Amino acid sequence: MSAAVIFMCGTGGVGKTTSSVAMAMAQARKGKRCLLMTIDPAQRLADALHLKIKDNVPTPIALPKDCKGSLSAMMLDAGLAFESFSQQYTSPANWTKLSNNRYFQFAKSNMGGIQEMMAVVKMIELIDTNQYDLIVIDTPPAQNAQQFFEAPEKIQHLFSKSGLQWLTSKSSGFASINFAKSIIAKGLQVFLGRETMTDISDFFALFTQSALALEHIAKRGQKVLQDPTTAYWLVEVPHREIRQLKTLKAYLHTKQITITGRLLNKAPIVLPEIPNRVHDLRLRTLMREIQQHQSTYDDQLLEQYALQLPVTNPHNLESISGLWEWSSNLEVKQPISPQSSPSSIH
Amino acid sequence: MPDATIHFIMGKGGVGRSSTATLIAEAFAKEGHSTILVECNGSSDIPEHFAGEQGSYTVQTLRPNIDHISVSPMAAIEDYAIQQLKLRKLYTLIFENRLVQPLIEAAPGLHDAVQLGKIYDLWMQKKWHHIIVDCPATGHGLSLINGAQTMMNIAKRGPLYEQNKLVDEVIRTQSRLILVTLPEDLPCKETLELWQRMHVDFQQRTRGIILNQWQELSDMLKDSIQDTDLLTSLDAHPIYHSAFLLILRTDTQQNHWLEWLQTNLATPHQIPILKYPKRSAPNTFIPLNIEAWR
Repeated sequence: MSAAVIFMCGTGGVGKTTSSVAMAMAQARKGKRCLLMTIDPAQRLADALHLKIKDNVPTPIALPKDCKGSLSAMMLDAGLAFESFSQQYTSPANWTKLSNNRYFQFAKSNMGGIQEMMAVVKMIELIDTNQYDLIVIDTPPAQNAQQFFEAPEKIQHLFSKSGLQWLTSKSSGFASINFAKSIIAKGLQVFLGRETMTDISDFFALFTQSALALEHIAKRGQKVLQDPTTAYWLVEVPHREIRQLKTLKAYLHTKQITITGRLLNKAPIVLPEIPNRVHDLRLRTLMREIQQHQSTYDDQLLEQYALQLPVTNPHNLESISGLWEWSSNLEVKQPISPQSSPSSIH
Repeated sequence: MPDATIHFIMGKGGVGRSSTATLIAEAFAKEGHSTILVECNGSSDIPEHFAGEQGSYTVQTLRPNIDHISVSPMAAIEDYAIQQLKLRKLYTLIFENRLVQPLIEAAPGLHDAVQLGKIYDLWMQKKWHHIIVDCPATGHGLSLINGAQTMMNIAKRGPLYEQNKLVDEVIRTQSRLILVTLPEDLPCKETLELWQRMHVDFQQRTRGIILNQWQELSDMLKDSIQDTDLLTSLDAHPIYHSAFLLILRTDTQQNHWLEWLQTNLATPHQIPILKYPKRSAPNTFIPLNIEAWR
């Protein structure tokens, strides 16, 4: 059986990584073999888990003994992944040329969308290991998440067969004499410079096999994104980033991605009304001040969230056992499956 | 009009860069300085704050002395290409070619370089006192600022190199950095890292740090910490008691991170740190006091 995938989406600074850890732990608690992958270039996952997490290799996380499931965590180093992926599909002789190609070296770290492209590659690789029931993916903040969801399409576009054939064709392509004389080439040269043009055409010639493999993976990636069992959770905090959240929601909607549910992180402590029996005026004032100090919210707002992770002393989240305990708040009202929680879809 | 100062508003995702950029523009505008807010990567969140129209690649006036432009990489590429190629027809032929387009989209560093080029264009227009750039989050903001440099490294020589050299020169001499962060562990650590990673030129150009979402304790809450009798009576209300403890812990934390920043950023130039209060409801803003940055 192939692994299910959960995407954790949200704007920056809402604690998406920590929430993703909790989500994966909650699923492990149910007996699932979980893998948590973070795409964010920042070291947030390692920081969140206070562990050394290797890049591109799943690191097992020790959970309490009575837990039936398991949890591994992985961070993505896109440049490294891109390099080893390309090497895999390139002959040793060509690899020397490719790895010294200037465009390849820049592409490795700077190419638009490389992070997202390699995330899709890793996701498919991890699914293919058959070692996991569930893969939780901590996506980059809102804007870059869009790039992530577009990565499969872009890869297919960039490395489409016809495009590659054209680029590398000896008679009409990028590398040909005819092309070099063409107005397109001249225009591009003004823009990119002659040396860069040569580097680019060499790069595409050497990269053909890898490109075809990438295109194939991209197609599979797209299927996973559209699979009805794939879940999309939206992580939010009270009163922050309202505008970007709107944009993200609208974007997911255009991609025909249905949000499985909303998760409220840093959910405020729900304070009961101050009891009438409290007569001490100073105590009443203190209690009112405590109420005022908290974020304003109302029950209606809270009801929109299928899942909540309470605000807590940050110190509590500094250990695996602390995170484990905190993740028990995700004992879900509704089971995590896109079809079964229509009420939470907003 | 004298040369404009370019302010780059940088920081981790979710710390409030757009809000800060807006508040800074408002503060300058109030003093009669003309400002333009620049949003990058096609985002256009600021006009909504002014109940304005959707922002676009053309400059629009949001308020007296506050203009706005939303720069997207593709629009900036078109702009730049047409300037370089002189002919729109030629641009269409080359850049709207189905096969060339993905290549341009994936070209390393190009997105940043053209957007930075647009900021340079605005600077050259000499219409504003202050150009306030709402940068993309941390790493992406860094690559934006270094966009011209990256292009120079790729091109090595030629017109592309020369063009970007001009841009780089202006960016390095005419800009100031404002780092926005939260009084929390990761945002503060990232801020220090960002500050350290900036080019030497930029380190000295850091104008200030905004510590956003600061939660000042009321006098009543401060006084109750010493009041043992009062706290004992609060014990009878366990939920209030734990909420109170959480408030105190958060306060200790934020003060810890303020001190941590002050210690780590102390040398060789003292950087003013400005506390900005946490909003209790969405869209409530208190004006920013930029007095300390003069």
